[in-house]
Amino acid sequence: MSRLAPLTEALDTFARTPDATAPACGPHVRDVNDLKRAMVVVIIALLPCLSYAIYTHGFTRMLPILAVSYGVGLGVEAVFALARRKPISEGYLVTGLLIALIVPVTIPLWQLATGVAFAVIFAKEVFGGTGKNIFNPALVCRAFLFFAYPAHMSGDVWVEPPPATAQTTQSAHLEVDAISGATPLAIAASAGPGAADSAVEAAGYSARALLTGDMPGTPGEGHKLAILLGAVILIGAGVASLRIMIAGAIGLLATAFIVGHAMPDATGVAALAPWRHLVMGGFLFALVFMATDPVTSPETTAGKWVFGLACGALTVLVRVFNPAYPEGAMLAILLMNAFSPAIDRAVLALHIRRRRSHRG
Amino acid sequence: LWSPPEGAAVIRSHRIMRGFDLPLQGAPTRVLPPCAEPELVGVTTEDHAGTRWTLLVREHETVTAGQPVLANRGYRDIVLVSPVAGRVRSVIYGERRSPVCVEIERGDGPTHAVLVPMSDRDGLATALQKSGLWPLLRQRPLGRMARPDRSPDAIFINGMDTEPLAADPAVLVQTADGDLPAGLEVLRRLSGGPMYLTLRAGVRHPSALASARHVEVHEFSGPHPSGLPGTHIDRIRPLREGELYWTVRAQDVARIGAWAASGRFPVHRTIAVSGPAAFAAGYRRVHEGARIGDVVGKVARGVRVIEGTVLGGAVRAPETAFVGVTTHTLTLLSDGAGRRVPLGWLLPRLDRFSMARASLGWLRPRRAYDADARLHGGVRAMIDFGLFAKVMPLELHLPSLIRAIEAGDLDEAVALGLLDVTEEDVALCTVVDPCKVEFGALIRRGLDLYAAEHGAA
Repeated sequence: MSRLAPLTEALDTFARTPDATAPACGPHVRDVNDLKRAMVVVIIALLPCLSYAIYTHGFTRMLPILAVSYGVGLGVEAVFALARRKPISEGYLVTGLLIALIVPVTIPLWQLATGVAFAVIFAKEVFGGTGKNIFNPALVCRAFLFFAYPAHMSGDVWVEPPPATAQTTQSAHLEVDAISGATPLAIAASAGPGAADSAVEAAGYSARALLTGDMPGTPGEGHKLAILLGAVILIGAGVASLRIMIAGAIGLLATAFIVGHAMPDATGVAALAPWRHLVMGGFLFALVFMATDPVTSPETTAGKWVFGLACGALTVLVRVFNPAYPEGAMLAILLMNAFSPAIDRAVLALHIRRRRSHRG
Repeated sequence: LWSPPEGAAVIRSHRIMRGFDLPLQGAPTRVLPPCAEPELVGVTTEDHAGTRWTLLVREHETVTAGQPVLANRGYRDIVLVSPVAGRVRSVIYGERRSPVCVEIERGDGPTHAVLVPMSDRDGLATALQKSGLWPLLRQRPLGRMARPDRSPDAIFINGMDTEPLAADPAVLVQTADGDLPAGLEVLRRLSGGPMYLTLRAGVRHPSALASARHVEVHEFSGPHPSGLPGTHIDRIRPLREGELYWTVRAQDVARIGAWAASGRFPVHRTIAVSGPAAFAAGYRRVHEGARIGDVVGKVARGVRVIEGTVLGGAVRAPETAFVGVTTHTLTLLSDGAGRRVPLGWLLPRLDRFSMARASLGWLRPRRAYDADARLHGGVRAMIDFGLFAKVMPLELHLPSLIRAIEAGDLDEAVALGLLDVTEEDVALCTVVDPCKVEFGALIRRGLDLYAAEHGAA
């Protein structure tokens, strides 16, 4: 029976709050918040995006993806928890939903299962599980799928293919061109000198369409207002860092502004107006829900600013200088995940030096 | 000797922004009838964690009031004394046969009294150690009983307490049959260094505190931990390498003063009985060494009796534990074991406080809660959601410090401020942590490691 303890603990504390009380020494009163609640808050913050995804793509598309994501991910987590005899951490409850919202809805489910298993094992469990991982597992899953199955996902990456199954309800909502066409970022990437903005407009992506998600892309990234609502929930509940969000937006806008002025006649994304960078592609979603992951972002306040600014700046640079892959947020955040410990070290080293000089 | 400002001019006011006041029911507001004089008293070592004691008396031996019954293993002059004249009934032993408690039956007999040598620093220090009151002095770094072989570079006298439901030193100074000026004079002669008196801003201070001499007064406002000595030291005079500070509560200075004036161990004082589960919360005059069960009154089943506050206190068995020389608050709190909420992770939990706003309790602010001792979650790997910084006024990178301690990297831990804190300074971080990490125990482990490697400090 004790072999199955992690599993029974997980099911037991899912059904009822745990029976543990504070030790005899030390704080005797504890905040009602626990990791389960913190994760539930993130899921609640993701609900607007999920609702929009279901609204546009339908239950029949989203449900299998959610089932595979949660089934495979939690299964792998359970296996590792049993082997280690450690409690099953709640981190995957959020990761599973994030993955479902950042993969194309047309993804073959076996590919999704492979990606989820890879992400949970190699991005999380090998480091020791939730709280000890370096990279955001959801982004690793997406990166794995992108690099492992380029046939499905190269070029116009997150584009729906020409409607094989007639999308009767959805295509009434989305323009037919948009369904079969490229993402706004892909359109901007292939635009002529200095014509990125007009090309996007000409393709039918007005500011309103960009804000409300009337464009192809992954299910979660579409509706910007839904993402912003999620951000408000995250910040209100104190789960995500407002600093990273603000810094990310500033980094993106500033870099896009500089790039746009440095190369006004460049072809492709370089000439795009800064605000379009913010509302096109998956940046906003990635910034709000993945860059702010408390485990893989810096812990120090100064570190959070550096991290956010760099995520925004790198997103623009990837978009501008990597025409093969116009969506840059994923790579930018993964790269900065790798640098997070180094950023924290640098901030702490400065802190220690300042402390020494203050106290003589 | 340090020549401080005459009188008690307020030197500086400090506003603490980051912190949190736990909204708990059961604040000590009333004045309770005094306890009956106990027939049995106990001299307990339970309140002095990390120190070891040697028994000085045998069972059935007759003792006088004020006679040492336990001596510190490291510094033999530091003793705990019997508050009554009588006969040793029994000695309770704990782990490795270390004495936990000496139970003494009250009888008739003389009271031990000494002439306190005020003008001789070393003689005064020795007399204070032998008085039984030395454990009232705590030291920084390490946050434990002050070592007697070094005089402090500064003394922080705390005239405020922001811990939840704690006894207010301003009240205790007023009610004690103490002598604050005499106590301050003792401290001044022992250290010769600066003395800082910290008071809560925005309230009228009792005349004893307001007219305190030889001290620099600093006022603090804001939520807990604005009343902790760790916060005061950080704002007034951060600890430098090699320095040693004493911290002491204002009411305890008054007790030292009472001893200095009379030469006798003061046996009566007032403490607070508080907590959501307290039958009657208020201030109560007690005899030193009284049985805790007699002080708190009836204890319902499933209630924790805590020596100290809900943040830093320790659970005691009310029938076999006694009021110690450092006790100032007894808190009664429901244990909550067995109370399990179906699908609790999904419910708004309006009845529970959450600093993180993860429950909807914040929709009803200014409400005091009937809290209990449940963890409300499983223990998980440490994740910094940014909550620690919201309750930590010190510039302390807690996760990095904890990792350094866990890795045994003392140099790194000290560089990150290990010596600036004790477990009480990080208690709120433990309270708000969704991963339920016991930061206090980890900090104590780091401090013990440091003490083992560098000597007592």
